[in-house]
Amino acid sequence: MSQPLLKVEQLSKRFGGFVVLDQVDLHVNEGERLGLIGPNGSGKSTLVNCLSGVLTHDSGRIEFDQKSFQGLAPHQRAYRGLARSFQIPRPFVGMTVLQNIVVPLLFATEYRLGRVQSKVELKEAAMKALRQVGLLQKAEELSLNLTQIDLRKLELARAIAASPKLLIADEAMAGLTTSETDEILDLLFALNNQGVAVIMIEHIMRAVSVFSERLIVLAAGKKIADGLTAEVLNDPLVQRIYIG
Amino acid sequence: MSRSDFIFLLALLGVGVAVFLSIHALGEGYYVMVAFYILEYIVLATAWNILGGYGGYVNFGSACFFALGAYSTVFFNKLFSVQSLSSLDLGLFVLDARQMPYCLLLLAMFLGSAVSGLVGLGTGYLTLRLRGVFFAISTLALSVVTQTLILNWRFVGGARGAYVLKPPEVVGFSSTSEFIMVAMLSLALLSIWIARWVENNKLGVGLQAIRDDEFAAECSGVPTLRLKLQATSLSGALMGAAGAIFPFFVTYVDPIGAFNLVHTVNSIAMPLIGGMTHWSGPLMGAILLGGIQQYFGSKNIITPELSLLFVGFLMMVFVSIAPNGILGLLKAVRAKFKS
Repeated sequence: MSQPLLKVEQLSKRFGGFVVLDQVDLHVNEGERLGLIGPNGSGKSTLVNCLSGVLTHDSGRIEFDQKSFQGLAPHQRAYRGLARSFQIPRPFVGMTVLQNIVVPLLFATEYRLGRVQSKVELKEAAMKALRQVGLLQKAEELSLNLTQIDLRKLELARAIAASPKLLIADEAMAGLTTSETDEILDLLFALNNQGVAVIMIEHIMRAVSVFSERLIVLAAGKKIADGLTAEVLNDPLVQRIYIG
Repeated sequence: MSRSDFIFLLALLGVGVAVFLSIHALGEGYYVMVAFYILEYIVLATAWNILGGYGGYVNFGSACFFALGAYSTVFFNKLFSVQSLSSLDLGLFVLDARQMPYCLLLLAMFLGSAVSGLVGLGTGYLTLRLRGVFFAISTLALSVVTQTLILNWRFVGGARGAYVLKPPEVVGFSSTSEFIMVAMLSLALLSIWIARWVENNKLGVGLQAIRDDEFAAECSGVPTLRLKLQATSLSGALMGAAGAIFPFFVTYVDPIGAFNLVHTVNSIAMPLIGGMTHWSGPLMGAILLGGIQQYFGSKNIITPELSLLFVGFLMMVFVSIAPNGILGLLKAVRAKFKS
């Protein structure tokens, strides 16, 4: 069997005396759609922050593409092909939508290509990402003026612009209407079809169950289930802890 | 170099020549002095804006970087007893007393910018992990610590200060002051060129992303620490180069003058009033604010202390009425006309 794209072993993180992640093991295969659920405070966001390098984990090991992530800053992890979107959209408010997308292209893509891209090339790549999320019409608008759904789309566009291997979508649909949720879902499916592995962190069960091939459940910093979505959702323990 | 860069360079040189010729035509030492101070502020404001305006990191240590440049000149003069030299043997050719100032000023600028640039890099490395108000406080602390060190360093004059003699004559210029003013003019043009270059390049885009959201910038692949260090060093080096020229013009440096709050306040106020998102903002702010201060100062209407009060007042007005400065106001007016 081929090696997984992301391999996390015995990952632990504590804030003072409070253990947020307790020896978590998980893996994501190339091109896989993984759902990550858990009650509030179960450590999902901390896990994402440890994976993307925003927080340093206390012990354990993270391997991406068969190389250790140890000691790498978030931008170096982005260069290796890990992208994330934020739970609360964090656009570069002083820039237009297009300029927002140019940032990862200028840094992450350029690093990977090992050469400087021309202005035309940059614009084309940015437009491609915007087209993919359906924001092409708003390319020249200030990101400050976007609606909530458009901000989510911008988050995703910025995350995928640099052609990552793995996208962590941190509650990309929270607060959206049903039809808006479907829009984002379609987007994530389309991305996955292009070979990008996706970790979806979500509270909207309908979205998670439709999207995920495999589901991981976190509770109080521990992984309590990991398996095919239907099986995990039928697990009595998961039902008791998460679904209630 | 792209076509627009070339046109900009030509325009910059054209403006430089025009400024020099008009000051020269006015002929009086007073105008040379006014031009020198305004140009000095153009350098300081433009340099401050590279980190403060583009990157959003408020530096309260402008006076420190400036003073380090000035004291590099003092140190360099004392160490090599430059004042007593009547000619300079460079191996290939010998410079006489009237040619020497070119070499000395260039060397001093190089040294001043190197010292301040390195201090910028060092303090940047230690403090740039701090954000917002904490970074601002640490730069203020840097200023106080450095001033205390200089105050107690006898070799560079300590609290008494030190004299740096103006070269009596310089070949090609009618007065030495004019020559030094031209050096500051060249530095001001160079600063504007650098600021525009930063703005249109990867560094500028990265800094803007850092200013808007450092966390998201880092996750989008922006090497935030490296870019901030580059900006701090660049900004410090330009301030240091301006500081290095300063002693030649005023001929006397002491810690109170070199570390004066006026440098810090003005280098923040000028970009704030002019506009921080474009290289022309600090330029406009420096000409406007520097011009007003010089004018009122010359008429004895306001003392330097009163001028600080005035700058503070103007800053408050702009922050509350036009937070994006004159540039923001112009943009708003243009948008109104368009619609």
